[in-house]
Amino acid sequence: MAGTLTIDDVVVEFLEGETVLDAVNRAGIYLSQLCKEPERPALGACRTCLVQIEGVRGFPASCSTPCRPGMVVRTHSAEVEKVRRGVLELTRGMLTPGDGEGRKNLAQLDQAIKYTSISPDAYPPIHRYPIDESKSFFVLDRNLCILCGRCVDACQQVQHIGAIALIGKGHETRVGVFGDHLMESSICTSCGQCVATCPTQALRPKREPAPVARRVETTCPYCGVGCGIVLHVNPQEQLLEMVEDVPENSSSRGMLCVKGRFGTGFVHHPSRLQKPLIHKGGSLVESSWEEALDVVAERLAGYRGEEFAALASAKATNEDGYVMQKFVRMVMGTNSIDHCTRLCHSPSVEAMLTSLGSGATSNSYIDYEEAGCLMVVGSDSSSNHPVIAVRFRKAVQKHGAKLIVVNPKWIDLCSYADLWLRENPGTDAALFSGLAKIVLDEGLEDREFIENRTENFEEWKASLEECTPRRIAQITGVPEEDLRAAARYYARPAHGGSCLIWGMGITQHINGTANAHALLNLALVTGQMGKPAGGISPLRGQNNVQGCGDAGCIPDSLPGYQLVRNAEARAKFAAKWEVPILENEGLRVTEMVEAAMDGTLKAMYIVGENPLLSEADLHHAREALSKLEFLVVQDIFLHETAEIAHVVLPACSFAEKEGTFTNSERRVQRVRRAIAPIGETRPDMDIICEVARRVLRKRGRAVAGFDFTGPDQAFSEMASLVPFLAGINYQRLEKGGIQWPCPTPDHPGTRYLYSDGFPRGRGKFVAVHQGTPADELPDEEYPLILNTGRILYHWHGGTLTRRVEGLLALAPQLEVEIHPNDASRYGLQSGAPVRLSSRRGELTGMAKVTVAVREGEVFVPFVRIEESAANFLTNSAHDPSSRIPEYKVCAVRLEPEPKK
Amino acid sequence: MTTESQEDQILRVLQIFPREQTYLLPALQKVQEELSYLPLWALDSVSEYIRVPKSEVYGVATHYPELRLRCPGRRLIRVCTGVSCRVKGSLEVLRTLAEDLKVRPGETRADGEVTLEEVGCCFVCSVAPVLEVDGVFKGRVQSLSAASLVDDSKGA
Amino acid sequence: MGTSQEQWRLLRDRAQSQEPSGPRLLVGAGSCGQAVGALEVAAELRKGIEKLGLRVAVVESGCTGMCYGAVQVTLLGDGVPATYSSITPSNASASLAAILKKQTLSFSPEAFLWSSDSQNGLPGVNSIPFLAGQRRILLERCGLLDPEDILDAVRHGAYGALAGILTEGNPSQVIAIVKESGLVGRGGAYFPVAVKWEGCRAAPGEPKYLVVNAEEGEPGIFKDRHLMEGNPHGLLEGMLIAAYAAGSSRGFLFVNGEAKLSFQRLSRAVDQARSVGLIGKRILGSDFSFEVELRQGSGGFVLGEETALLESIEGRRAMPRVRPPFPVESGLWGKPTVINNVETLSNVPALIGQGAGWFQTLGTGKVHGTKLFGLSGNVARPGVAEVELGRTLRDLIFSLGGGVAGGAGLKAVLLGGPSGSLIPPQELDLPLEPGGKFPLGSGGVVALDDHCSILDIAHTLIRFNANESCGKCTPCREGTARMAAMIARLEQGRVPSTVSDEIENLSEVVRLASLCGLGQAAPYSVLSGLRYFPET
Ligand SMILES: Nc1nc2c(c(=O)[nH]1)N[C@H]1C(S)=C(S)[C@@H](COP(=O)(O)OP(=O)(O)OC[C@H]3O[C@@H](n4cnc5c(=O)[nH]c(N)nc54)[C@H](O)[C@@H]3O)O[C@H]1N2
Ligand SMILES: Nc1nc2c(c(=O)[nH]1)N[C@H]1C(S)=C(S)[C@@H](COP(=O)(O)OP(=O)(O)OC[C@H]3O[C@@H](n4cnc5c(=O)[nH]c(N)nc54)[C@H](O)[C@@H]3O)O[C@H]1N2
Ligand SMILES: Cc1cc2nc3c(=O)[nH]c(=O)nc-3n(C[C@H](O)[C@H](O)[C@H](O)COP(=O)(O)O)c2cc1C
Ligand code: SF4
Ligand code: SF4
Ligand code: SF4
Ligand code: SF4
Ligand code: SF4
Ligand code: FES
Ligand code: FES
Ligand SMILES: [Mo]
Repeated sequence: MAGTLTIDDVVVEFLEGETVLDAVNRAGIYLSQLCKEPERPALGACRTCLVQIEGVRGFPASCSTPCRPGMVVRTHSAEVEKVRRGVLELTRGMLTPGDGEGRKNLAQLDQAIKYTSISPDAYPPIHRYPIDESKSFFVLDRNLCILCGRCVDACQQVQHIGAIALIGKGHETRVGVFGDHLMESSICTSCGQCVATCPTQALRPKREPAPVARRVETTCPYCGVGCGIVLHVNPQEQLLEMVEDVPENSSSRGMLCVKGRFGTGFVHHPSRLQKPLIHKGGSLVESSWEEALDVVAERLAGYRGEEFAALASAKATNEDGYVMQKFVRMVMGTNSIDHCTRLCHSPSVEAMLTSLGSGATSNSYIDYEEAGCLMVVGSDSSSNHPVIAVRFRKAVQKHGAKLIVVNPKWIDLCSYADLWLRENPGTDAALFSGLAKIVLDEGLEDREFIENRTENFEEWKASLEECTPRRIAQITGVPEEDLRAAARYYARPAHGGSCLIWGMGITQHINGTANAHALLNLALVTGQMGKPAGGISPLRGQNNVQGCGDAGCIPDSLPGYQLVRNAEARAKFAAKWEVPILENEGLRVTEMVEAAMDGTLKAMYIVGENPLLSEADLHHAREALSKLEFLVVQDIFLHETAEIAHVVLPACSFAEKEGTFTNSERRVQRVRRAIAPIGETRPDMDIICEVARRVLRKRGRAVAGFDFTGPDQAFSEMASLVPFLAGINYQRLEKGGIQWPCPTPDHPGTRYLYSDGFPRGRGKFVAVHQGTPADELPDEEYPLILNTGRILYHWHGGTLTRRVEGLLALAPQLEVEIHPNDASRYGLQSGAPVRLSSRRGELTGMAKVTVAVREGEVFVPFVRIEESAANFLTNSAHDPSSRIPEYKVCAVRLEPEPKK
Repeated sequence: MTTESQEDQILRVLQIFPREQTYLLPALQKVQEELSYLPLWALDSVSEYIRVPKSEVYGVATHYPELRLRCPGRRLIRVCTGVSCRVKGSLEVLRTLAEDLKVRPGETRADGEVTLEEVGCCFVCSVAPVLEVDGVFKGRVQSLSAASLVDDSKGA
Repeated sequence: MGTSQEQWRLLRDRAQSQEPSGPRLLVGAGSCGQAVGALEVAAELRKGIEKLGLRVAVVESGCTGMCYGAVQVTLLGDGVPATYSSITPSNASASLAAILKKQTLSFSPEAFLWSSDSQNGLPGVNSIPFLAGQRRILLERCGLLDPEDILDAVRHGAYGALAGILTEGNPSQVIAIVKESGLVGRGGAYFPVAVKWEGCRAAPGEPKYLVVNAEEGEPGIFKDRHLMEGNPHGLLEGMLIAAYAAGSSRGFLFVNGEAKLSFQRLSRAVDQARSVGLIGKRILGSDFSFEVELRQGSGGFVLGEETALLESIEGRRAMPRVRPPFPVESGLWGKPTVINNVETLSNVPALIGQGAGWFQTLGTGKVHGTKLFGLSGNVARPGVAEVELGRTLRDLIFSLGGGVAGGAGLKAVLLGGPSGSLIPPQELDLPLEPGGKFPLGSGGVVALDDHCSILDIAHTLIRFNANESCGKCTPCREGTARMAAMIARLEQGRVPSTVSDEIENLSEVVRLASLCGLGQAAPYSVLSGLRYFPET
């Protein structure tokens, strides 16, 4: 506490740094404050928060007046009220009621007007603007705008996007975009930050606001950033389209992207699975739970070991994941459990385990903001980790950090970058070895770190002999001087440390693990690890892919990355679960497909994954999975994989259940039930437990180990077995997420790893070899390189996002990005239909002519639009050690498609 | 030598600035100096070069009165109608010019030859009334000689 | 290397040894002078000199501030300089012979010597009413030196005060002197200068910035331009001393975009100062380093508001910031920043050179120093004048300005431009000082004669404010526009009896609720107009 002051005769305490407005609000006195967003610095624009302060001339704006002990403040004296009324009349005078539709609910402005009896028509309206309805989720109606500036602050200073701005001057000032064009022409990402802050509904969701019966704080179900969201539930038990952000959430700090803000509508989509389905007579028919569970138990009881494998869901909770792997290991007697991490960061994890002994992101999001250099490699963060990308932009715009983008393709972040290394695809191993070589040649290495913290330095160094800048420039196509500049920026950041951030552009190659090692070597040689504002970050993709791995849904480790090869670990789990644990590692996703193909794998249980859109070479995958004798799919939608299942079990979505997700900065956060389960759906964990119990029963084994009273109990069991989670429990999580490692209940959690050691002891340099850039390179028949990935508005195959109308409206077509030179060669213009084919399949899409891609390369997101999806074309050749398919490079042919 | 495109010309002149937001206004000034106004495509180039989002650049360009988003006439005549000039007869000057030049204040003549504008003050109030012709101030302008003043400087 | 003092003496010696021999003709070519033909006069003079085969240099200098007498030509040579007014391109050549001999000239009604005595029929400076009433300290060198030659300035003593404090003083001493002198800012807010410098010095954060506010965008005033055009090194010296005192190592000179001449002359001055070691690393061999960058505005009255100026330097719209935090704590890029006006800083060299005691002898018991005013409108002798604080409008308009031009009566005086007041003749004897009954603004004085319509003037001013409102805050953006509309109605004569009251009420809201000085002061002219000229 910093002191007390008197407000309207009441003594109020205030804290250090608080403004008079803060104190007024805390005292529960209503004071209009139209331009003040609670978490933002005062803008001082609306002038409706004026107060009278004894001994101070005039009427200071309380939002920008710091509290001082002993201040005597009046909020509603006749004098100040008169001025405020005048201001509100002028404010009211800005509104132009719309044609016939009457006045909208003006939210905060209405409230202010209500409290201050003003004459509503003191001034005639001046402006009349057409309503901008060009964005799918919200409108900009300047007739209700009071130019408080909050939306612009939100867009420029919170999101660091700058799609909108204040335009013009004086009474011609307006909120708008470049050229006074429509919003859709701008770089607006529909993040909704502006809509959330608007005090008048000038920016408002298109769906009319509805009464809110309940607000439930939970965690975004989409990506690994793990933003906090507050779901609004209406009296009909439906989620409202727009969610609220959570300023107190340390991972998201009140930011959201479009999917988190507006994308939860899939929950109520009519096509949600609501009843179990059983394959009967050539089609899937609805059944009772009893029947479906029985069929599943009956059939699964017939398989064990090699014959059975499971995919856990990185979209589901930690508890779901823990229970799933327990079921697989304990009941089904196999380690063949995996999840989408295999298709994702398995090379990173593999390399990090080898070099460091742990496979997680070493630092926190806040470190990105504080770093002096950010190197973003093969990650399109603005699309795929949007709220992390905000931190990058903030680091650049606010703190002058150097940003280096390494990507063959232009991505949004290039607009902010100091350097863009536009390399040939698949040459990262060479590129990063080259950077390390420059570091050593120029004496930029961290000697002390190398000496005290690493091993195998000399051997590795010798392996760099041939990585001269000139040679690396030849291999990668990046000019020597850019290589040198990048090495210098990274090795010697002007402030803080350097963060190395990477994504699928590194991992989804046959060289994936080598690539990851090359990155780690650079981080080690420069000592950019184990400190604040520096570190290594493989950005985790799915909302709970970190947690799914932590929970043990991987074929080589038990929960907490305790290797199945390790006898001690096995013994520990065997004791707890009262069954022996198998020593041999299970199948990985890609191996499961092969095993299904050759018939050794006979039954699968797939929870919350859709391999028949996400695997490479879908025709092949489909053929393989179709050979299974028994396939159970547990999902919230009937997707491509579910369609060929024998039984489909309808699961609850994130909004209908309790649990936890662990995000990319290792923060364990609560997921809370907002609405009752849709239809007959059940939480994943409950279904798995039920299946487990029934299989055990069928097998005549003791029915134990799957009778959790709730997810909290499952979490406790996991935490008791996983040292880095041991200090976390639901009670603590009520106060906000906690970053593991958190070994004891009084441990605050860990912002960054490796401050004084690596789990394996010393960090290990691993010599890497740049092999052929890709398994399949272009030739005469298939002359183009196909790069696949994602766009902001769709989630993977689109199972969720195609079911959110507003998201689909923002990206309704499958766009094939193609360089203008190639386009003119094929006689194409943007919007023209094209057919792409590879040795494995084909798709049709719409050409988008852009210099974002290089000549000779095309980019297609792997969302499925109608019958087209990129994975019909991709190559299943994989990285030998991690088994990740080479999604990022294959050879394709393009033909203009005659219009139907 | 082939002639440089306007886009390339702008990219070239921008090179003198570090790519930092603090140089946004100087960059806009420079571009306006080159092109006599700021077409949208040039704002786009500035945005890309200085690394400030387009809408923000547009917000800045529309905020400062001396930045022009529309192409002015070949000749630019501005008449000061600030208080000092006004009381020394500048409204008369403005009226005469408008008549003689056949263009309304605030507009560019249809043939693109001349733009006539009012200005709030030219800051040489002591020699009012004041005109600014193609960036050059003319003080103590008599209304009768206004049109000829413009003609005079045409050749210069 | 020697002390800074010694280094400066070396520079002065060099300047003196390089002093051009022979007579020089300085043509008063400030922007006002140029607007009435100064460059043409200079060209004619050169032609004439060539024709006569003389060795006389013609220099385009700043002006004396006697705009009414522009174009002026001043002879520098042996003895006291002589100045001739009203030279035109057509009479320039014909005037040469007389000027070079310091003789009277029939078509130059005001020709005089810069001494107390007359000679050859040329009167001394005391008999020139416009000059006699002044106390010229900042203006001392304006019109009498070559603004494009640092050596000329050094010969006049420039940078001597800086060298002195770098040698013998320290920042706190400078602050102490300035504090004792009571110098307050001349940009319109009249805030104690020492308090800012001290605050900046004490605030945590590096680098600290010094911003010179040369935006001067208040219609009716042109005194900062006058200083920059006439004596740029005076400003630079003041800036360096301020930076030294405030602990600043980086500066911006932000010049109004229309003040192209000021910009040119300052750029040159900065380049020259840098080339002789007065700007850059280890100035005059001391530990003090300072880098400065010139910037230009792009118009807009509000740009002169200090925080709007900071926004602009950072590359954004010129919209004022809320205070606190004040710029001395958190200014440019959040770093401690001092912002001072051109005239304020131009006061500093003489103040430091001659001491606080001397400074306190200027002005009144309450406020010290001199102030520059711009005289324009229906005044007989428009121009820029420097007088001690505390003189009256009557002094300015009648003693210096020669009364109303053309013999009409004085209806009102507009003091302080669009933020100022319309003052009736009965108030002309109030002393001109900050904190007085009428805000001084930055010193614009516009005489309005009987023919003026007060309503038209008030309308012009409020329209100006409405146009210049940055648009950030509601009372100013909306209120000024609504006020303008109301006055337009008054002008059209469609006046329900309540309109004046409405205007007055709204004026109060705008004045009390606006975020920055523009809105806060915008209603003054209207209010004073309504109050003192009720008949309109
Ligand atoms: N909107 C949205 N967000 C998502 C997802 C989604 O589907 N939609 N999915 C989530 C998941 S699971 C994941 S894993 C993440 C993935 O996020 P990212 O890693 O950003 O994913 P991608 O878009 O697949 O690929 C990233 C970039 O790699 C580049 N690249 C291709 N080849 C190379 C190369 O050889 N070298 C380098 N350096 N770069 C190359 C591509 O051009 C592309 O820009 O996103 C998560 N977030
Ligand atoms: N061409 C190409 N292919 C790729 C990639 C690429 O870059 N290019 N990237 C790969 C990567 S990195 C990844 S991670 C994979 C992703 O591949 P998948 O994991 O197969 O993709 P999703 O569509 O996210 O599948 C998640 C499923 O979970 C369901 N679901 C959502 N919530 C719940 C829940 O609470 N419970 C249950 N039971 N189900 C739920 C959804 O309906 C959806 O069907 O794709 C890979 N495939
Ligand atoms: C609308 C407005 C315009 C201003 N214009 C100027 C200006 O042109 N020049 C200036 O020095 N100060 C101007 N000021 C005052 C500055 O905000 C600031 O007080 C001043 O630059 C500080 O310098 P000083 O303390 O040396 O006077 C203006 C203030 C306002 C509110
Ligand atoms: S939705 Fe987001 S990106 Fe679009 S204008 Fe609003 S804040 Fe900016
Ligand atoms: S749109 Fe809303 S948030 Fe934006 S300025 Fe207008 S009223 Fe404020
Ligand atoms: S960034 Fe990721 S976690 Fe955050 S709102 Fe967007 S999709 Fe959700
Ligand atoms: S330049 Fe003309 S005079 Fe100055 S005020 Fe003037 S009006 Fe404005
Ligand atoms: S008072 Fe006027 S100029 Fe100042 S901030 Fe408000 S709108 Fe802008
Ligand atoms: S809330 Fe204080 S000015 Fe708007
Ligand atoms: S130029 Fe006229 S006052 Fe200086
Ligand atoms: Mo992923």
